[in-house]
Amino acid sequence: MDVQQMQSDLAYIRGTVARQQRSSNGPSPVLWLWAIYVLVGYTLIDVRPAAASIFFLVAGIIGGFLSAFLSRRWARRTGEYDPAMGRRLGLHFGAGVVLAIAASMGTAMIFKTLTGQQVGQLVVVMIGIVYFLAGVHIAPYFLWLGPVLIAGGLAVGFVPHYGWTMLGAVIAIGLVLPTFFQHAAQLPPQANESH
Amino acid sequence: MDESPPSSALSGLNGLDAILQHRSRLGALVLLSTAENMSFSRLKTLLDETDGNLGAQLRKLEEAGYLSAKKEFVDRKPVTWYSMTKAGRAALSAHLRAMESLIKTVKN
Repeated sequence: MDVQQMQSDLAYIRGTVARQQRSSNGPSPVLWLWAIYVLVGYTLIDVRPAAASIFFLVAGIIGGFLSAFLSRRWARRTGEYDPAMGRRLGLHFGAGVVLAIAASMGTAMIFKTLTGQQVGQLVVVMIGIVYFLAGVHIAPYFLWLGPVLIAGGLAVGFVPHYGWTMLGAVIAIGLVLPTFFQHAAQLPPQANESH
Repeated sequence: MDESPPSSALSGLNGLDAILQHRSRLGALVLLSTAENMSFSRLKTLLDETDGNLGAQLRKLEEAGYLSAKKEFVDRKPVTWYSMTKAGRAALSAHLRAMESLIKTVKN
């Protein structure tokens, strides 16, 4: 094996891995599920604030289980199944969101002058950090959603009407946007299996 | 004048794994190091290989103990799932280290 051959092989493998990464924008059904969750939850903050926290809690737990189920189905369809990645994402977002809420509540207890609206904004900013870190360390398609959440969480306090609904719509669009760019390489695994 | 290759080049050459000197086999192992399980069709698409060639290369990796295969039915159609074994992970890591050292030696 000569060095030129070796370099050509490495270029081929780099291309293969790049192709894989381009076609791995996350399980579409899961992203759609959380987009609907965010849109409904944030709209409830504007139209029925009392129901919003119950919705976030109950639908959040159901959504977690549903995500695991949908991810597995998606993996079987696309032919790429990575339980370790699923566990990392589950732990990151599950624990991350719980910690973001706990940190915001803790801050509210220390600074008693914070209003309910401001605590909500703080939760969104913290969740924005969770998204950004997911983008840096686990799944790049979450990277830009983090800053959007942080900016939206801060801006929502300056919007007089339906600010949360608008923010929910922006986040929902951000979540589903990558699903429109799924690479054509994601074919059903059973296609042409004739070896 | 001593024309023998430097010792780092020799160790690089010695570290190369004969089974991984085929780029489809190396590519398959690299892909399986990024995701725990991949189907035959997914590997075929990503590696841009024909059914026959990829099947033969994956069989060689399986025979070497670098891959394990599991068959199942999805929508009543057969799907073969591949995952990398511990031996495969060790072989890939050693092979990549050897390639790196060899390329470095040649560049220097």
